[in-house]
Amino acid sequence: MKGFLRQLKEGILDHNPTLVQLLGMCPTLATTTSVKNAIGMGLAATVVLIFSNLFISLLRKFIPKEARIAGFIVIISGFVTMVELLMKAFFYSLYQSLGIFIPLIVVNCIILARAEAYASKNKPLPSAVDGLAMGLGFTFALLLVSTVREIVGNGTFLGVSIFGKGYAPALLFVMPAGAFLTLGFVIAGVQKVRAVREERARAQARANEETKEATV
Amino acid sequence: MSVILIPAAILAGLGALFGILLAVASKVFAVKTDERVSAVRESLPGANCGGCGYSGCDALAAAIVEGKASPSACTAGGNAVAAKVAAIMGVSVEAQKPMRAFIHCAGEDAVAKRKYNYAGVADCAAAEKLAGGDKMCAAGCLGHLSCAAVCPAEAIRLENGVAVVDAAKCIGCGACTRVCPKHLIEMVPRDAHYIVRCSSHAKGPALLNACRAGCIGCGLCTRVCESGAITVTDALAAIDYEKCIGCGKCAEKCPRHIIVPLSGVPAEEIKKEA
Amino acid sequence: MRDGTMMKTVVRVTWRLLAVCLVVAALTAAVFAVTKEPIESGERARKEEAMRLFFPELSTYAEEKTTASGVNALYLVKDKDGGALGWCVDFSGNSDYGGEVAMMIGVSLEGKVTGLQVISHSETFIDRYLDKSGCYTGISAARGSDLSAGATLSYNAVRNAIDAVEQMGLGGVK
Repeated sequence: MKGFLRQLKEGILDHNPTLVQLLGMCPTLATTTSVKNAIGMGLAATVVLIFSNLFISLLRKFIPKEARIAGFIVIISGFVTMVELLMKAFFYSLYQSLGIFIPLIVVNCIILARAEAYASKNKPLPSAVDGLAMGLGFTFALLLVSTVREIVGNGTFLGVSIFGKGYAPALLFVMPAGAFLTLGFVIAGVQKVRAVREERARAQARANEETKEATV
Repeated sequence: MSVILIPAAILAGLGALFGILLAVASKVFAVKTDERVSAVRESLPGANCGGCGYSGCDALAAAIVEGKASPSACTAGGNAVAAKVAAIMGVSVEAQKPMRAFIHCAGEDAVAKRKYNYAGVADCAAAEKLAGGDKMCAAGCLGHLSCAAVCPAEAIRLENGVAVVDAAKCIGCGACTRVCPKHLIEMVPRDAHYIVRCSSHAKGPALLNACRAGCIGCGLCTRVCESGAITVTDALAAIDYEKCIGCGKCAEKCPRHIIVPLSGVPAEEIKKEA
Repeated sequence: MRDGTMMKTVVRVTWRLLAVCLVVAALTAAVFAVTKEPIESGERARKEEAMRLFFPELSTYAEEKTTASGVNALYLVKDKDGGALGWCVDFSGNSDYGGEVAMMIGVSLEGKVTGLQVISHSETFIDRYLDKSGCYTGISAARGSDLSAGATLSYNAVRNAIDAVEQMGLGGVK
């Protein structure tokens, strides 16, 4: 259990696929014009991640190493197709807003990266948890970026107007340039937080060393 | 039904086609590698510390299998790694003494004079280019910690202006010895008893003018040494660690207290205990 | 270059990859079978909604035969008394980049196009030209003249659709 919780924490914070590993930035830029779309995309990608990781891990000894990538892609695209069909059937408005970015989940590099780096080398249950962790991390990143973009660029959050009618939205933020800017600043903020925590941990380690020496 | 069968057939057909293509390609474009390289690589610590002098563990593994490097080249891995690698290569290797790095300079801020005020890049090699650095002693540690920067074990820290190696953390890789522009760092056996904490060949008055701590080359140590382990060459004493029996007489006799025990306890303390 | 191990490798790799493809195809087929009905009924509902948008008094509609290209179906819309209200054309347009734009086009009894709604589309540019309910509002005026010169492929799809429908020459019905 502890291992799984640690995996979850790492996926969402320490090794966040988008904000730390800098993977999957293309859908991040494209689907974060609104928080609703961002969450939808994040959850769709998470479902694909969990199932493709699980499947690839189950078949890891069976998929021939010469056709490794081909095998992974077949499995990933299969699950993306299934997710697309399910969305078209049961979540049509989300299907329409995400549009072409649903099939693009196939080439979301997060999914192939985790398949290659983790699922193909670990047991099924940890692989599925890894898929969940990375997917939630991706969703978290999407949430951060889309919150900024929707509030500043549209004056709403989840479609609900925040500032009232008088707000003139900064349209730049819902356009591609704004996407890059927002993502850049969010990543910079995350790196700053990580650097501060690392420095604090190092200072703490040094302090521990000194107290140890003093007693010797 | 055909809506399902046709895509399935297409997918199967593509799978078969690419299966054949990839299988053929994997044979036609195969690169011949000696499997020993990956076996050796697995035995290496994988920290890429560069202590062996190669650019990383991958490079060392390749060099060992090619015969360019000795199986015991990984000093950081020690005897355990050397034995594993030797077994893979089918050779025997002698166990080597565990080593640690030692910085031969005691020129702390209180005792070492400076020629000028250095306000440049905090790098020893850069500082050394400016008339040999800001310390008056030509063999003085400049204290910019370029050695600490390459240390993979974070074993070097600054103490009162000179770099000091923490023996407990040192993994013996030797990376620091290559980086010090004044060549003050030496790999010494972990079980060596005493060591001369100076590298300056300056004689008495000249040395004292630059630094109150260093070896003046008086030779008193050589006269009391019980095993003939310590010698003075060009006004600098040096201990042969194979011969040294650890009696401590040289440290007692040294008027500058520049010979120290390797555990780091100052000579005066030892005298008090004795 | 073929020798013993080459053949073994080819057979091993091919059959394994083939097996993976078949398993994935089977799973996908299963999901397809499950979602087929909801997707179709959803599309029917959306088309009906479009028809209701054009003809608020719609009560029933009957499919008519037609051979015009691009037309999936032609419906004659009637009110509750059985009187004809107009036509609805279920049209599949093609945009220049190969995206299929499915539309419902409302036609008045005089044969004039009165409304156009995009049902589903595989391009993302078209949103800019639609109002909140997905209706293309550039219809009522002379077609094309009120659209900006920097038109996109979506405009072409829509324009071609309107042209095609007007070519059909749908006329009045009692």
